[in-house]
Amino acid sequence: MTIFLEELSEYIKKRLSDYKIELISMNDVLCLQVSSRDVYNILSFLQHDTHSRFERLENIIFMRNQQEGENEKNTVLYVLSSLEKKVSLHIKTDVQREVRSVTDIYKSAGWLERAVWEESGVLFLDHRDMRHLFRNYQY
Amino acid sequence: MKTTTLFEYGPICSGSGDLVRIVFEIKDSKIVTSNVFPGYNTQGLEDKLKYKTVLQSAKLLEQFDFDCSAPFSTTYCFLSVIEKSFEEPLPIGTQFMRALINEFSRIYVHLLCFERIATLFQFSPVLSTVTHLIKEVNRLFYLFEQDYSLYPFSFRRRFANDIKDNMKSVLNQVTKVCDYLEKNLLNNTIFKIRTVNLGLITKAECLAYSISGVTYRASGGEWDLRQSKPYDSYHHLDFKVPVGTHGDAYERYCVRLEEIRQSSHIIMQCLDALSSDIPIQNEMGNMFFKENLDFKSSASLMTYVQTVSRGMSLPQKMMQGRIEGGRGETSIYVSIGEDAYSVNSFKIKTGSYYNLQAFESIVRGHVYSDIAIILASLDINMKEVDR
Repeated sequence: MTIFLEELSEYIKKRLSDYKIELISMNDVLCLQVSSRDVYNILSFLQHDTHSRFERLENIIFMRNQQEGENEKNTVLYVLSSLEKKVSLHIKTDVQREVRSVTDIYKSAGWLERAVWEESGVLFLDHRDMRHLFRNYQY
Repeated sequence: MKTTTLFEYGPICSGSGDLVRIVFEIKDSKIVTSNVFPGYNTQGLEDKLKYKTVLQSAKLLEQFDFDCSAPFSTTYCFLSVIEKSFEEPLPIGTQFMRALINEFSRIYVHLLCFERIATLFQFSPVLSTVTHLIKEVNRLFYLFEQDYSLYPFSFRRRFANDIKDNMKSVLNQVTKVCDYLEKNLLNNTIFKIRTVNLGLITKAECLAYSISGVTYRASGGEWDLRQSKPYDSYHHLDFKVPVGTHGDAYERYCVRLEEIRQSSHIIMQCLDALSSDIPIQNEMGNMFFKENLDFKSSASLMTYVQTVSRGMSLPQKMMQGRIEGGRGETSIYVSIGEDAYSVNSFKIKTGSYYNLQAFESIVRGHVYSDIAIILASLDINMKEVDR
């Protein structure tokens, strides 16, 4: 399993050599750190590439870092999974205020991004329908 | 000139006291757009769980599972996430007991779905048959909750003989009801006319919306976590995964019925395995049960008090896990803070969430009277969506 994950991470790094990609951890799932500007391009590569077919975007998780102050970094985690290869991939980014939406690539991102925006205030650019999901404006 | 009409659907109750409101835009009696407004049942469960220890969270999730009528499914997922991080194998008996309880939960979820469709069509003989069986299964769950609730790494005791007999008699009824449903519901002409070619969703669309579970399998996708990525005891068990072809409402019900049969087959195998004397507890699990510990030394007493009051110290920063629940894949993500006890973020997702999101596109082009059937065939529980 770990050998396969190593191959996969090397493959991704080789194909995406234009972008800055850091390997964070590799137990059970592969976790990569990327810059928030490149998220859209990297995810669109991973979805369309025939070798690593990550067809599903399962979750978008927002994590607020505990320390407050000027260097407060908020993290957004994209959870992708591939049914053919039976692996899942975590893509982490540090987000200041906004990040480009991935709704063109994955349809499931529509509600996931709305939920993240509602929870945290991270704005997803180019999202067609940026409303609150659970806490409606009428309540 | 024809204009579009706005139509409010709900807030309606979709089965277990849960609410959803949907606004449809209708033109020439066909639905053009739909807009789902979830959030009527939001309890802030994920925020509540941040301030609980592992044992407290397991108990809270168990109550929550009863609320959204899928007993023990998220509890099972949560505990397997916690246990995986310790890298200590589960006792074999516990694995089989958990698989058994989980399969009963799957049978219960699918039966509820059949009950809902029978209510919609007003097939009263089918409805009364299914409702009677649901009561029987529900009685089993109260017994499980009393004596056999899920703990990390262990169960408190083995299944007693009378509850085993009870389970076998329920399984007999399940097989009879399955035959009855196939004869009287799935082969019913009215049912076929109303459900065949209704609410179609393709395999590619399922992947885009990241749908799993029955809806994905009915569209021809061969993906079941129990078989494609077996966890716990499922690689010892022999069962088939039913797969449909084009994914309409009718096929979803066919797949559900076949899954009930396969689940009862699995439960019989688990009961056979549990008849021998296989271990259900190990050292990690023992520390939750007072009767298994000797408090002669003060150190063991301190350990017990600490695990119960403060919780377990968790070895990993980010933990995640998935199991196959009744309504699709249940996934849990937990990220742990610096002190190894507190939880930074806790995320639970179940199949209903993705199904409801896809419902907006599935329902396009259908007429107003199809909405209830499509919603019922997707098996959406709003308490699972909202949290």
